[in-house]
Amino acid sequence: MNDSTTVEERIVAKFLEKLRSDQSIPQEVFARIQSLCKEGRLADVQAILSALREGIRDHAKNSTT
Amino acid sequence: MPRIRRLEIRGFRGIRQQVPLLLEGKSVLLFGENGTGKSSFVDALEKLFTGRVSTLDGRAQGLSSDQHGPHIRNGQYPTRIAITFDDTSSTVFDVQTSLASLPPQLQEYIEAARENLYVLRRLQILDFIESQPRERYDFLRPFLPLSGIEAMENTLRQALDRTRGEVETGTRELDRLTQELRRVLSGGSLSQTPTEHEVVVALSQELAAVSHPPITTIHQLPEASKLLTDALARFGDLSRQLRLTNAVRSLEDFAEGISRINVTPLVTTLVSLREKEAREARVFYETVLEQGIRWIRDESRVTCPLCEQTIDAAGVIARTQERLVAAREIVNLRQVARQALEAVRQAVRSAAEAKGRVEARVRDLSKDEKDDLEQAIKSAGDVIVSLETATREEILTINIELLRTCSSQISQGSSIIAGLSRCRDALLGYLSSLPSPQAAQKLLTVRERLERASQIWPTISQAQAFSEEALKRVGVAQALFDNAQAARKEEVQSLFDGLSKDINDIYVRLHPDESHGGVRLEIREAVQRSVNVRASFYDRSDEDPRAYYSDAHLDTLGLSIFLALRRWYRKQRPGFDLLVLDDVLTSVDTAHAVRLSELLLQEFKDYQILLTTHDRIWFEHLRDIQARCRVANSFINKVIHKWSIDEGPDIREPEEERKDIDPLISEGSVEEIAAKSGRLLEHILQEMRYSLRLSVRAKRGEQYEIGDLWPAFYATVKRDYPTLYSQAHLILDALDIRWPVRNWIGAHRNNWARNIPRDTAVDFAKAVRDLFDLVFCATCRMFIVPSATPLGQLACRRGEKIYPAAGKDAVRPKTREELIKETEGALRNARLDTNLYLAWKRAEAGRER
Repeated sequence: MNDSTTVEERIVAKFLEKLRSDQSIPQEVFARIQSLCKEGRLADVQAILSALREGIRDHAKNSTT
Repeated sequence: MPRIRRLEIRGFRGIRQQVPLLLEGKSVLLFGENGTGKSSFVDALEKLFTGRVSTLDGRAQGLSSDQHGPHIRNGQYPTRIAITFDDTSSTVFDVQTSLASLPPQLQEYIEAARENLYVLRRLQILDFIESQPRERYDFLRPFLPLSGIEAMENTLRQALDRTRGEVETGTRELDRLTQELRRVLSGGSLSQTPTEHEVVVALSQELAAVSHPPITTIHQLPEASKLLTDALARFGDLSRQLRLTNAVRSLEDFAEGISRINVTPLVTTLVSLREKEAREARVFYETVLEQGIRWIRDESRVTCPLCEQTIDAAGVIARTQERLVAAREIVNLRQVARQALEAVRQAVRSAAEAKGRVEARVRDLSKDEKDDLEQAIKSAGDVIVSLETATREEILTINIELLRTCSSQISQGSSIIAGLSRCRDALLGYLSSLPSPQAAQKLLTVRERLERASQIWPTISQAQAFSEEALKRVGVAQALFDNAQAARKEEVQSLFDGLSKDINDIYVRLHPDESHGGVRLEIREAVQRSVNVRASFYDRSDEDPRAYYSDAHLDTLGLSIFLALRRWYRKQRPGFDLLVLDDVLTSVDTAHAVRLSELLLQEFKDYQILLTTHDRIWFEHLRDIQARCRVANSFINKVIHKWSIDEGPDIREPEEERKDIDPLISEGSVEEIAAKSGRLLEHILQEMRYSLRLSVRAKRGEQYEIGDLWPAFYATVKRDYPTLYSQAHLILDALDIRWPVRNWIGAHRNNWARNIPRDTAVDFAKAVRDLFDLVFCATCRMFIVPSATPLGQLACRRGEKIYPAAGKDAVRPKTREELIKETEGALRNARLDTNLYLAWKRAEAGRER
């Protein structure tokens, strides 16, 4: 890990890395969370809930097609 | 980088009148015996920056810095705490100063100071070690710039909670709908989360009960419902059947109501009552008769009180008793008659209500159906009305004949009752020609259940789908939260590992040859946001240090943790360099305290330190260590000479006091001259007591004054330092005679000493001034001390003021570079090796002897 990054940046990077490798998290949810992270909206509860709802629905659709 | 130049305090804690602590941007070593106000300076800094004093606020119920911070006699000295910075504008900061008005560097400084992570007091050394794991995490929280991460974790937790809430809401709604469906299907065997198949089976059973074909899917419900409607059509006009049934039922109720009207008991009682009342010409009241008997019998009356004729008492009593029996019978009959009357009234009232109901039902019937019925009801109704009228009277006035007539009109076999019976039979005749209503009712019930089930089932399906999806969301939300926590834990543990290494480095430097250390802060796995402290002790590792460490070792561990944290915080806030250590060396032994002091002065030399101690020996040690660590120029060493409740701590420097003497000699009063010169002499002697190792008689409380110190000083100088004595003997001899002047009129107001001549006081002042000039180096800003070599020499640090040993030349004190050279480099790397330095110094002294 680059030493010039802050503690918070390192934690967020580690968090995303863990999500990526967590089999219980659908790819569609991960993509949305990653996107929120880039936008700096990980503290927006509505955005997180939308990411969950939409990501899981998309995952269900993609799984059946 | 901003530093504090001056701290001014007034009316706070142990400081009443304004006392300035001059720091001049340097570190300060502040010595003062217990209770002389050292901590007042620390408290004031804390109060100014944070609004709190940690030794007061939150320490115990009822203690607060707002209430107990101000000086107890602060009336005319309202609290004021202010610091002046050493920036070019000499910015002053006090509680009224707006942060926005300060330059950016000072804003950063004050913001960091408000975190209050720079003060360690003796009482707080063990706080971190002794606190609970969760409190430790909170303690470390300010050092961890994780507000963004904590916000993210809170958000993920909220998302998880809300998703769980959605699942709970969905489950409750599903339960409610399932219960309703179960009720509709009259307790059909549905599971907790019924399937479509279960519902179809239950509805098919309902259909089978009315001989209708089963359904195979829920979508067939409308079709099955239509089949039931078609079957119901075969029953024709179901509403006529209902109207006739209701009319028959209400007619039967009316007839039964009439049959319950029984006036016979009432009539019999009334007849009997009236016959008895007719026999009694007058009305005798029971109480009157009883009173009359008692009057005649008990008072043995023989004459009548009204006519004054002689009476036969026994005869009168016997007749009166007969009358009493008759009167009591009448009373009983009246009571029975009232009860019978009430029973008739109730029965008539019920029959009248039943008449109203049957009339309402009859209105719904067709003309043919109700033709005779209306007349029959009217005839019966007329009798009821007559009865209502008759029974409205009281028992004395009831028309008994009318009662008898009415009774005969509604008796069994009367024309009215027979008419009602005929009408009932006629209605039953109409009903018997219609199909069975029970079969229609069953079909209606099943159709209603089908329709209700077809409304509920889609909602249940939706609720089930919602709950399933919400459960998935809970799973993913939980995974998000768990991963966020795990990421934070790992990274914070990594930070803690770095911090642990720093703590360990400091601790091992304080305890170089001891088999313990291995300090580690670790995030607890099972509990959120809590920290364990682990350490090793000989062959035990990963133990709670409290299990094996001595109190002193725990103290140094607490200090190590604090210092490591302070350094860690400095990395985050490089513009804030204040470090305050309030009397923290108390429980540490000399060797460890020397190492700690060296570590402080070396590793924290780029901090502005305020270090307080109540231990005079430590004060002297620390001054030596300052010189040895070559930080003497960045330190100001202050002594609190004394403290009083009104004047507070006396921290004036001897140089400042020296400056006061000459003006006093010119213009001062005898008392002023004696007082201020005496104070300077006392300061000189206090310094000399330590530097010349004066032997003084021990005194309880260690409060040594001029009278205690002077004889030893005079004798020591005369005996051990002849060079100084030869230069100073006139001064010393003058003072040997005159020092009591200070006590006579400078410290006390003795009447007998009022006439002491001013010249005497002036001579005393001049002698003190001259002694000061002999023993204090204005360049080094320190008093002369015995040189390490040669023995018997007195000199300042730089050798500008030297009094050589007897018979020897003056030897300038060696610089560090010279020492390193002379020891052939042995001291080159001895920056912190106190033992080596002390060993060398001892050897040097030995050679000297």
